[in-house]
Amino acid sequence: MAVGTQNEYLPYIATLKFNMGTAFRNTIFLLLGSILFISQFSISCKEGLRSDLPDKIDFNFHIKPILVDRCYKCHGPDEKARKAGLRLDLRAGLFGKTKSGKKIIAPGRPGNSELIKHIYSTDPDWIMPPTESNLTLSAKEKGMITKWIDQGAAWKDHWAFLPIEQKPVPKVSFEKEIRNPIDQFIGIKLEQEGIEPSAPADPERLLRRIYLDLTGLPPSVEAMDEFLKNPSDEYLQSIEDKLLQTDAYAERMTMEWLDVARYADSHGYHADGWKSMYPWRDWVIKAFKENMPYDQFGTEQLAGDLLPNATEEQILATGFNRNHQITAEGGVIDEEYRMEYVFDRINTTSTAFLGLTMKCAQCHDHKFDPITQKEFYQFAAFFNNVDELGMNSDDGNCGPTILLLPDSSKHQLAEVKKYIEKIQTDLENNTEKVKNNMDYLNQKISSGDVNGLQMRLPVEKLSTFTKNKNKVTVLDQNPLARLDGQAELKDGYLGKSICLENEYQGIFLDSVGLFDRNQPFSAGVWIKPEIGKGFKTIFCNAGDKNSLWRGWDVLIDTSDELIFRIIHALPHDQLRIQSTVKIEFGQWQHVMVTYDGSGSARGMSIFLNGKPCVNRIVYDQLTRSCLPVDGTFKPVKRALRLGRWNENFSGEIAFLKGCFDDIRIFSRQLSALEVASLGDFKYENQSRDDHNLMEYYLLNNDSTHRGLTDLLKKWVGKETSLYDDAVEVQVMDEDHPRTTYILDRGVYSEKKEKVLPGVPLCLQGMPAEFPQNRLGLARWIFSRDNPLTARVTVNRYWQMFFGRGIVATANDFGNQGALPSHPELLDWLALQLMEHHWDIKWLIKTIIESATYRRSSIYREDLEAADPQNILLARGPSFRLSAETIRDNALAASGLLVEKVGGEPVKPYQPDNIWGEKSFFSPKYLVYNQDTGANLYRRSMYTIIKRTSPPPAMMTFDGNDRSYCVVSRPTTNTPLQALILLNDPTYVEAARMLAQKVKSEQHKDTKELIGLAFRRLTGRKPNEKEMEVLIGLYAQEINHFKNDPNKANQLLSIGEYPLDTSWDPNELAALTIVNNTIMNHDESYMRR
Amino acid sequence: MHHCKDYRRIHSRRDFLSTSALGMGAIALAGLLDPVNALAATSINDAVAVLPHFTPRVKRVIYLFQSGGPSQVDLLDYKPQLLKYQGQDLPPSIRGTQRQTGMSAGQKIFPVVPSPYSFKARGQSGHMISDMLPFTAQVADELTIIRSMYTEAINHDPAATFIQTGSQQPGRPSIGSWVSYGLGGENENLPSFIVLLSKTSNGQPLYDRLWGNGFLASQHQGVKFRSGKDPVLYLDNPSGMDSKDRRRQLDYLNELQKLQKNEVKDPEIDAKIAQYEMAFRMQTSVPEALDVKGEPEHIYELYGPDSRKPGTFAANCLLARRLAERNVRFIQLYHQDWDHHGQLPQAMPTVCKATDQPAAALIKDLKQRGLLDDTLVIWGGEFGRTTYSQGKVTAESFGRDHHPGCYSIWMAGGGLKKGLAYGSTDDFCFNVAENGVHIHDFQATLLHLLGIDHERLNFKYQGRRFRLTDVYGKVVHDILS
Repeated sequence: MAVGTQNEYLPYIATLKFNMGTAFRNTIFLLLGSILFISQFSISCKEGLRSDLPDKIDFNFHIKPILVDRCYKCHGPDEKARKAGLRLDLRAGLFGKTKSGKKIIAPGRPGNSELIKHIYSTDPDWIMPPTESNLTLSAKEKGMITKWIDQGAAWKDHWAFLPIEQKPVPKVSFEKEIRNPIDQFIGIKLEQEGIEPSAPADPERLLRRIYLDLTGLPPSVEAMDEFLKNPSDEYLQSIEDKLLQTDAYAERMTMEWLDVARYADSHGYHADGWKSMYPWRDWVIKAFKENMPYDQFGTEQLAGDLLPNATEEQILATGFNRNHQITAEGGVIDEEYRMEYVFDRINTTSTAFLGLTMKCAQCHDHKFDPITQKEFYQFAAFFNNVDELGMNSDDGNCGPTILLLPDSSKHQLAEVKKYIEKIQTDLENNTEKVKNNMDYLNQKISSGDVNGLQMRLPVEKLSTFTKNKNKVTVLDQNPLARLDGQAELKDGYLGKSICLENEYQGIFLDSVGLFDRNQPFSAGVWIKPEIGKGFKTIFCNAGDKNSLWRGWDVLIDTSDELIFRIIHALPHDQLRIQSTVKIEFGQWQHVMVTYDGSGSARGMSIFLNGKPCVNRIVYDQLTRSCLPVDGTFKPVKRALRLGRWNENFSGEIAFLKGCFDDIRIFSRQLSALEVASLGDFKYENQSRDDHNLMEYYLLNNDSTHRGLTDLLKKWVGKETSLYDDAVEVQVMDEDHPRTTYILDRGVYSEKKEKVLPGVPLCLQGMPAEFPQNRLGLARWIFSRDNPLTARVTVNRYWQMFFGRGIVATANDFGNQGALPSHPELLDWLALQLMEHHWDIKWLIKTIIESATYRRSSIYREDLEAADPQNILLARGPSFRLSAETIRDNALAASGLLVEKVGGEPVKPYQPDNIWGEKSFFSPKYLVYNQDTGANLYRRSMYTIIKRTSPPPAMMTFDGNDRSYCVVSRPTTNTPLQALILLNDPTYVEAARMLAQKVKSEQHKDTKELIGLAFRRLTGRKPNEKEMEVLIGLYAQEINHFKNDPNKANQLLSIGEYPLDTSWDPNELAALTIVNNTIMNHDESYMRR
Repeated sequence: MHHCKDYRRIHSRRDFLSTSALGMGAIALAGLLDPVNALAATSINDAVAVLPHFTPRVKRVIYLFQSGGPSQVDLLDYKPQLLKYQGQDLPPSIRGTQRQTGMSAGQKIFPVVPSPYSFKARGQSGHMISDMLPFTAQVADELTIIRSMYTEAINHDPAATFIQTGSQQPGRPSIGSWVSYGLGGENENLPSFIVLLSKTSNGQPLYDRLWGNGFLASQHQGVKFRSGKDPVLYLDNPSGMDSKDRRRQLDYLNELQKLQKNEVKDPEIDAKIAQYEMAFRMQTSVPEALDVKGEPEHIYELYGPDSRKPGTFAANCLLARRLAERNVRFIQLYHQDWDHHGQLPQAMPTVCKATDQPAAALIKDLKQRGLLDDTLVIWGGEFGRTTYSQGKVTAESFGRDHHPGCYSIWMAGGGLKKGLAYGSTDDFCFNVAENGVHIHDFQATLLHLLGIDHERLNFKYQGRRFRLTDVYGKVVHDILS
């Protein structure tokens, strides 16, 4: 890339335009066209050429950015938006003909090129881009295009989609230090521009640079002293190697990845409640600590669950694609948001690994890149098979999840499972024994009402009484059997029945039906349902979305089949069976369910009219408690409802219009024989076969069986409570294959053509031998032939160390993205990274080992005109520290930093009521209960991120609310930042603690105290003049505090860390002010 | 280099919360370095340099956002015809295909509930306004009421995000951020976009993103002014330190910074010094702007008794006037508590009492100070409410669900046809009958009044030019004077 230094803005065809411009304004195109046509333009007009155009015009670098930006919207990849059938993003289109058969571009002959005629036209009907687009071409841009055509109009494919090729490392004749090939790639450009690189950075700044870049923490004074004693290359290398092994290094690398992976501690939409993704974050830390190869790092996060014999950790890694925002807003349509989650996975995956803005193709073909809407949905098919809900609870994790138990519980759980297995074997053996003894043939059979009856309602009478001034209507004079609304008694199956007419009516049974996972139970009722829309409720105490529908229920589903569910959380932690027979409407039928308390769907049965149904097991994974809880997850004695569901948020009231009779709830598993007796007496005789008699015997009369089921209840209960204590993390699964459709305009309900999983053709597509799922996708992303992943990765890491990527738009390697400043270097690093088996530490070490990285960052006046942005890297990189690092630096310098790795997010200082003033939802995140003690001083990456109310001080320093995948943060400079460093208790306390720290370390004179504080904060010694200023400040402040000692005490009382009262408060306060001043010094918050 | 410096100077005039390290100045420089490569960046320049696009009608906006969705049926859209249908199921022909929230979608019937409140013709304009808004009624002739607002979003989060940012999904800049980006501020000691939240005890959640900067630089995000001792987060000096002490400290800090500048020569250090000075001035200018102690008795009476209680909507309306006097560009108030799914007759008086008098007082107060002519005041929420009851209608109560199909807002101030009622709804107050105003039309009109062409104020991000109105929006010229 040539770097222009002239500032003249004469158009390329300045003479022509100047001569004709005023006189023939409207006919300029004609004249221009004819002159160009007639003359050998390129020769005759050389005198008038713009002097600021590069000698050699490059299609990719100079022309395509103009075409993409001004033309592709209407003449690009989006077929629907395409005007006049012209497609300028493809070679054939750009070099094709217009409808009237004219050449769009005639290489070497600008005057014969329709494009030129249109861009120079002033006729509103001719000019391109058209006036209504609000887009224009500058004279220089027009000149550029003209010159390119004049030079032969050479086409090049988009650089980023071309294979990464081995390029020779250029030879540089510089005498300056060349430490590795990076310096040669950088050096050759400097050499071409005649720019001398800067000298190496001074040792102090270099050491701090390396510490901050590798660990996000400053060097200790001891480390500085050691290095100053021996500032050799060997010693520095050993420091680097040491730092690369630290937890702090892993944390620093993780910090960047958390932005990419949009990690947060809350759901993001609406209630924005609690979830616990932090074990995933800790997985990332561990991966960096172990230097997991980047392809494995990516593959496990994209598809760890699909790896053969996936480990717990590999499944945990897939939390990456479940970090997205989730809604809990009552009233949303489930599918709409579920699709949003799928779209978010596409956006994150394509941005993070491929540097593609695939999201643009959700509603229509991509306007700038060769990605069709169909390809977007083919990509969506990889992420569309998760068994998840769109609407979830205000607080809590949304399935699918993984349950992580501490090692001690894991061991216990294994034991418990062994016991349970043994009991089940014993039960089977006992059954076998009973079967052989045939004792059951001699037993006495009694009616099923004797044992374990919790409630029976014959439904014969309605009565009303007044309670707390409210009229309460009850069934059968049972105060626990309340009626909601004005339902009436009508003739029933046995005497009377209660009939519900509308959804404001229902039957509520208090204090019954509260059964946990290990509790056998049975429930039955005669019903006469009427035809109606949607689900219909027979029994339920589940249904509160804010506890993810915990409880159990029996429903008639939309296909008229019966469903029996026992739920910890929908959709992933439940037992669910479904009958294959259908209910009859307008008829009396007896419905009964039984459950054996085993925690397995095989222990569930549905009976219709006393006959066991053939049931399908739909879900068989219930691990935790199913007792109803409220939105704060506290146990609640929710009434068992009949006729109406508990839910009013998902559009599912599940009202059963019809009549109910003879309701019975049992806290034991009834045998088929007993159910038959309740269901319909005419089946009684037929059901007295051997098997039923034996089952009756086991469940009623066999003490061994009873003893074993009591034991089972105990151990299943134990198992449940172990799982209940586990940490839950949202992960991916592939258990719910769905058909993916192209969605018209990206709208969830506008399904069009079916699509299969696939990747964009512009990237050569996915080889057939790869599995056509996320694992295949991951293999393709990291395959050697993928031109993007390694480039994108290398670029992100380069950006981390230089403040700017080789491609400045780290999120966009497509047509609208920036072009690489050093394309050969990018490719060399990308290829080397793959050859080094995606070894990130190798990459980082290579970068920081380069002379380029190590140069002094001091600004050079001689480069102000030529390279003010330091793109050529003649000097070293300098930039403001990140929000997290600014705070971590202050904590580390003051000795406050608590270097604990991982764990739950923490709540350090934050102004009062930042959360509470905005939201009354999410009980867990209603109030920001600030932590105390060590949690106030953890690294900033552990500070809780509630997405709709992120930590304000971090946001002011361009922190990230983690709504979406972000691969580069902006760096702003605002007065609000000054207010934070000056006034936030975090920094005032750190300044005070730094005063205590240096006082306790160094008892000598003020100069030494200040010098030490300065070094701890900035990584260097103050120079004479700086020291003079600081001493002056200290002297001022000491006097000031001596005159008003109360002020010193007030200042020193800020922060929770105890004050060391052994020091003179005035001195301490003065030093606190000095330290705070140093914190606000450029050298503290900048990395130079 | 002089290009760069000029650019910076222009920008520091326009932008209160200043330049970015790798931001504006650098972009101008990039233009010199490689104009083609910097195309993406220069679009910022193009988009903003020519502003305003035409003569602005107002200089500033006060947006009284009524979060939760106030019921148009009960406040601003008079529908006497509804009495005929009281208790009847809303005809399916009227209901049409409008999407319903999950909360009432399961209802078997949708009983029409006429408003229990009386409406009267007010002032010269004859605006029909409910008795629930007696004070608003007094300023009826100042109001332009739009009765035909409509949106696509049916739930709070997407709907509020939509009207505040132009997209139902989070991530885009808010209206105030776009205006700050486009026009900057006029008071160099106060932010150009200020947000005030009312203290309420319930209501729908608010999100920082409603006043967030999205992909624009963070100096354009709304700065939340809070009631109490720390009106801007971290504005107050630590205890034990007063303004003089701070000045002394800053003088020394400036010395240090200048020494550093001499050594490392980074021009950004000068910008930093300027920001510290700005921060110092804010420590005075913000409390001064918010200090209502000097307000005379009749002003408190005008805004109502709540105006003496910091953090109420009334107190915030008074502050909004003070900020408008100080030429703050975009002042946004949020009041929650309008989400009346049930118990509407019980909830409505409370929220109306909290908001009616102060909003009307703001109009009167701006007017008596001559500020109404160049200020745009907007009152409205994210959607309306259903004409039918959500849940059961009893003798005492009923509720209304979210309703995107039509709703009412009002505007007042410069450039508008005063006393105009624009657009209408059908007899059921369910569908727009004529002159529908979509969210994007509303946004386009708002920008238009500020002298901004909504199609030209854009920002290129991730390879695409974004604007507040996405690819939609028509200025509602009919309401402009």
